[in-house]
Amino acid sequence: MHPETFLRVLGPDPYRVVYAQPSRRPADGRYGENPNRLFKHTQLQVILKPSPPNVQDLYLESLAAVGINLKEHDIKFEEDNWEAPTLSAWGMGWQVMLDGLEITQFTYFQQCGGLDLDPISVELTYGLDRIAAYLQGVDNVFDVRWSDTVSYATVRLAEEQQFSTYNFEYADAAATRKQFDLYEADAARLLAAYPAAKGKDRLRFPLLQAYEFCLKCSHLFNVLDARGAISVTERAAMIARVRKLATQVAKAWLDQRTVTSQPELSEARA
Amino acid sequence: MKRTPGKTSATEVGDFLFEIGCEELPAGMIARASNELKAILEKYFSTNGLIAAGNRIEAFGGPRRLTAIAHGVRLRQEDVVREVMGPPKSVAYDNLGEPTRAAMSFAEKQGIPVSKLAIVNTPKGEYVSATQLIEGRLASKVLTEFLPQVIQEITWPRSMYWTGAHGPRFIRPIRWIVAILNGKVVPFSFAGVNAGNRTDGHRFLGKRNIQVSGPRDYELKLKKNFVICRPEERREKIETEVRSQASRKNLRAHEDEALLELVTYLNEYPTVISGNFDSGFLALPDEILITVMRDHQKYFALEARNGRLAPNFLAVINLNKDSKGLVRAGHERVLRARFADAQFFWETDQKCRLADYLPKLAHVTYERRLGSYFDKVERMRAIARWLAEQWFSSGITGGDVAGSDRAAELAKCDLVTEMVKEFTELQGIVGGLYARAQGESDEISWAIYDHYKPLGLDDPIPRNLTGCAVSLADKLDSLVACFAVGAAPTGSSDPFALRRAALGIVKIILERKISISISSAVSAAARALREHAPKINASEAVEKQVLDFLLERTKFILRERRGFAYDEINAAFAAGADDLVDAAERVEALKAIRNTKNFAPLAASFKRIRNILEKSASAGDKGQLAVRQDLLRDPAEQQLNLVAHKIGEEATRRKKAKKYREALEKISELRPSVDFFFDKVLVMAEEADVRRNRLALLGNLLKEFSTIADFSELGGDESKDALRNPARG
Repeated sequence: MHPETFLRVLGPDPYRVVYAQPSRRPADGRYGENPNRLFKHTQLQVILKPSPPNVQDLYLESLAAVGINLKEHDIKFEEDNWEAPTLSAWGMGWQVMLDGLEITQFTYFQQCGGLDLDPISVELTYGLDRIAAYLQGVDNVFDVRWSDTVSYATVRLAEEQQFSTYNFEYADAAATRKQFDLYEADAARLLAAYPAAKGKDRLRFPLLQAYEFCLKCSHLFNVLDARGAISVTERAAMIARVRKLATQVAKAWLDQRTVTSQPELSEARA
Repeated sequence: MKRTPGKTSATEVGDFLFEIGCEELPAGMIARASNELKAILEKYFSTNGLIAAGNRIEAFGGPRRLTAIAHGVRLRQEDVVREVMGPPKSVAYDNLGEPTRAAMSFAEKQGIPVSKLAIVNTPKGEYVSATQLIEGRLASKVLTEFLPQVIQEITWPRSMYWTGAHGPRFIRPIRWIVAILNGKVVPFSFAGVNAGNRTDGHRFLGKRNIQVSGPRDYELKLKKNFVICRPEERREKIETEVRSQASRKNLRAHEDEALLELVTYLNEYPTVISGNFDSGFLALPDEILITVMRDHQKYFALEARNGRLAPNFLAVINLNKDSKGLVRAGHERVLRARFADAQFFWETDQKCRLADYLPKLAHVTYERRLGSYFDKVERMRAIARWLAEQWFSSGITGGDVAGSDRAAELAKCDLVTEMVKEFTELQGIVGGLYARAQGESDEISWAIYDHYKPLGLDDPIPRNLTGCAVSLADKLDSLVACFAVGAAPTGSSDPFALRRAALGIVKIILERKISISISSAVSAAARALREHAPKINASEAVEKQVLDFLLERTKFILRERRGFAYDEINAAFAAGADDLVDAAERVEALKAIRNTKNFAPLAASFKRIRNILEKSASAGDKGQLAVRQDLLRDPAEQQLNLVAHKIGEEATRRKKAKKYREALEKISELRPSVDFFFDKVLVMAEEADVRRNRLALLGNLLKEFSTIADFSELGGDESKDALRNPARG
């Protein structure tokens, strides 16, 4: 979960953002042999905070804008609630189906980093590779034309093959666990130091770095999971460890929003 | 309460239309929510006196709306005259007939002048009374007040905010509301939405902001705008088109009630289209193909007359047509990718043998205190072996110890396969398919395949005896182990589905007629838990709890599924219920005979006997065991003693041959002698030894003839049955 989503949905300030994000899911790797499923796929992320009343219409207009004739396709909003247990975030919404293909996750965020959200943000996650394949009328995402002369396979196939192989066959559980421990410890170190930082130091305290470490832990956990290296109990315990970091970051981030560069003011608040 | 004459508006009625327009509701919740909406409106309409007798409210729903319609709604509540009793006249007025403080404060409280107080005669004397006219309110005013609460009272498994943390919660955002009474808008606002008279048509095919005047107009205009608002109509359209599309290809749709229900609520204007897939995928097992089509794509699978799956499917789309075939091409492409995925799992999983997954089960926790699935499998094996030994020695053929052990060993292996990780609903089935593909016997493969069965009272039991052994072993272990660590179900919380497990055990035993001692089976599970990891000791109390839990479920099945009366069941169970099959047979025999000429009065006599014995026991008459011939003075008691011996012998012989009905018929023949006895003999004789002897005679009679069923339970009090509905309770 990108910081532009995770952190920006917190707190009261309105915000709107859109960005393309490579999303890695080790367990979804198929060695580049499956026409739709990828270890790494590209999402278009939209956050609308607060969620506008006509958000479904806006979304559908965006599909029309890229050339999907809404009257000629079977578009459905099917119940699909989203949850990221490692980040203690969840929301309610749908997977949007285009002729039976999931092209978007549409979520009204309810909680993030363990905090209740107010206002409610809506998140639109477009599956860009799938939409591109669809628009170009190709069956296989690797046949998508990246440009006139370059295919998606040229750009991405090697990555899919190699990372699938790594995640399923080469990932070393012990080494991955060590990395997890390191990032976790570093994030925890930062989070422990935050309360002592005052004034300007608090304002520029690297919470974003702490969050990045937290994301690394989340990814390493996914690698271990894909490798089948964690038991159910260990699984729950690791999720709880990442969640602890994420919820601390969320709380500290909200606190940092209230800090000004005048030390006496933030002293007074602290 | 009296009606005030002269007002007519209270009799005027009109139609009411209510629509909650939402962003797409979860398909599986709409039917239930419509029913709730109906019940909530009925409650408010009737408590507010707004609906004339004989009129009903109907409610129905679709993906984007919950709708309620009521005819015969009173436009005005009736006026009511209310008489309130005040203090006694003697307190309210003084000797001079002047009102006292009591009268004045009563009048003030009722909001009328003292002069309007009346005096009424009551059985208790004369009292002051005040009469108030409560004017009926306009229905639209009352509706304005309660409609927001109606929306709020609909319950959901989980709900969300959308207008912020101070706004209301609902299952999905509400975007418009229609509330019209007799052609006029009922004004109110909810979640920032004002109720009005405008609705929305189909998202892509219909118009927006369609003005409607009432229920009829609403349905007609929606239909013109590609919304079929009644689920039964949508369902019928789907069913008709599925049939015609299938028969066009000389195929039939794989029957699927749940899927039909789901697509009925996923589409506002459902249309069925057909598509094909590469017949090469038919090499994958049908179960997997159907699961992908049904669970993941919501397609109907098609099969030939001979039951073989065809390389075709039917999809239900939310459009009126697919003239360019674009939708079909899209669905075909998605299905191709899905099947490719399943093929990937099938091939990956089979790179090793099912048994090779066993060690991985050690990493899958069953329950924190109960260890891993590897541990559970060890316990299941022990129980399955014990079961197979039992039916070997009781002559049930078809399963053996080694086979049951092997099937139990492999039963849970598929939990760590890629296929089951992706398609969790295929657990068991995938294991069975892999076992067969890897050369295990049919008996063992089907046993693995079926071992989660029965999943409910309508689900069939495992098809072979080995499957029954594994299923029983799995469920017995779950029950005993979870009860032992205090994870028994409480209230609505039953995370290990133990109620379902218990019903499954009983269903298998009764249907397969497995005559085993249920208490020994529970003990075998307790022994497995003691001897295998995590080696937990299940106390006798725990075994007793599990046993009671199972017996309650047995009674439930006999009552709700087999239609036996509670007292028949209690009577038969009182004579023993360790062998459930035998107990069920006795219940059946009892039901067949209970209303025959001799039996019914005999049962009543037995009840009388029990009452006499209980009374005398509490009065201090010590129980005497043997009947002394010399003390049998009356010919009636001598005859009873003699006949009871004779009938007893014959009944016992029939009972031993399990001919319960014939045994009970024989016992019925006691009736004349029992009647004669009670006619002629006074049990509670003056002389203590004669009295005790008579009590002994009756005591023996009760004991000897209660081994098939305790007849004195018949006609007993139903409320004694503590657990009325154990499936839900």
